Amino acid sequence: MIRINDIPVRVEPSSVPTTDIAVSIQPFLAVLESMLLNLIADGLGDSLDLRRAPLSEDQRLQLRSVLGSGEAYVRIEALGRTEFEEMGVKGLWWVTHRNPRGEIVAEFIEAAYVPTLLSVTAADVAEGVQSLRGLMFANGQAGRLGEDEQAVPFGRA
Amino acid sequence: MSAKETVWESLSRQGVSRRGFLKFCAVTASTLALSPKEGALLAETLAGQPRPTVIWLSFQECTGCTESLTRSFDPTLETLLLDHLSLDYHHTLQAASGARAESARTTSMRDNYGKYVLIVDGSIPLGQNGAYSTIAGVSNLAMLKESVEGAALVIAVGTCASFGGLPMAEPNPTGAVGVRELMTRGQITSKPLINVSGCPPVPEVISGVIAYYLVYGALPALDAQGRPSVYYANTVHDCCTRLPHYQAGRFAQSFDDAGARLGYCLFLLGCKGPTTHNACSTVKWNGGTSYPMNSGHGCLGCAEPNFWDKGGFYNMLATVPTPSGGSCTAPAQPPL
Repeated sequence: MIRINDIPVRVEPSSVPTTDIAVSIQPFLAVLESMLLNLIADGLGDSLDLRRAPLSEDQRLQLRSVLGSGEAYVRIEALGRTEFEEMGVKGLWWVTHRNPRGEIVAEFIEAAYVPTLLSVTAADVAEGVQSLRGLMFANGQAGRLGEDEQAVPFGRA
Repeated sequence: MSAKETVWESLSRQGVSRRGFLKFCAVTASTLALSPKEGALLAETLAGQPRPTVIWLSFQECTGCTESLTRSFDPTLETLLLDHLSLDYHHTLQAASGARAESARTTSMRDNYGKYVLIVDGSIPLGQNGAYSTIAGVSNLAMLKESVEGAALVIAVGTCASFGGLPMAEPNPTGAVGVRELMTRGQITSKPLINVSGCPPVPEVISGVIAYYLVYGALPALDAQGRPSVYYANTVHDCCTRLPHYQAGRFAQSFDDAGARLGYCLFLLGCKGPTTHNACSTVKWNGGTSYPMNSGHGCLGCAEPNFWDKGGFYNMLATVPTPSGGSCTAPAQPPL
């Protein structure tokens, strides 16, 4: 069975003048500025839903090019892959959500110190402590020293 | 599993992480045209909601609506929501059959009286006292009449349940009608009703409506046809990628001709986009991949009443309504 991804795709350059594209993304840059200012003012992040924004493919590429690339890239696997790409404009993250088949199901530009999905909650950390204690207990119980071995204190090589 | 289990508890038990749940809510909020901040509220609210009981009745239908919701991708965000509803009755999905299945339905209705969500797909035949379609010897009308009594919300999924659909096409041999028509006639009790029309509907629209109800406990804003405005306010023409060509007067003369390959408008080839309200050109199909006009075929108008009897799929529309003026974007987006 031929799948949709098997159909060859040829991308042709846009016939719209580049300057027209640059002007048309100015409103989006203003929105992103507003989001960053709000982040500084009240510490609350926000997102621009790219699926719902009136952006053509050319404008989307132009916006991405203008924002540039940052230093950080994070990939998580949760109900499919989600990628977080720090933009060259600090505080902005390009977030791409994919389903388990790899198809993009949503895209956002998020203004945040750390993207919401990346952060860990206090409850998560508490759960982590319990998990670690379980591992420590299991390690202590399972390890039986041979005659020539000496006990190695936890935390030392 | 407990029917009192919350949505989050149910998902967590199935191995969904907190991040996976938040991602699901963010994507669902996007399809619901909610702002990302409202998406966060959706997550917070949905996490604590008990799993609602859902009774799904299938009448004169082709199972396409169920296929749309359950076969998009696997595992999917849409099936995730469907799987974790307390789906107590569904012909295609349930393991039980016969008397046991019917007993499960009536028991669930009794135990959740006044609280369950009733989903209906397929039209309801009235001809020959309803004999054209029966389940366990009970006519569709009688079963619907009984089931509606204890429902908190009725969702008519698909054009057949919403407006009668294909079974209602001339000469309508079975006397098929939609759920709303029966409520209007007083043949079944009137309850809050959402029409999710389409042949079939876009799966994210189905799951989005369910998610909206879970979070807000109320109906979303509806259009004159009882359909969620967030998905059906625009025509597919309003947000079609071929719209600039329509506006410039560039039309394909035949399928796959040079103009069609350049993306020219398919209006002359019978596209019903200008008169069809649906989410095909915004939410799109196959996880946002494409939709009919984007793939070379005109809109059939399948989300509208009587679309089968509007003069043929390849006959050009005689008139084109003025543009709705709506935006192709979510109203909750930051102002531009």
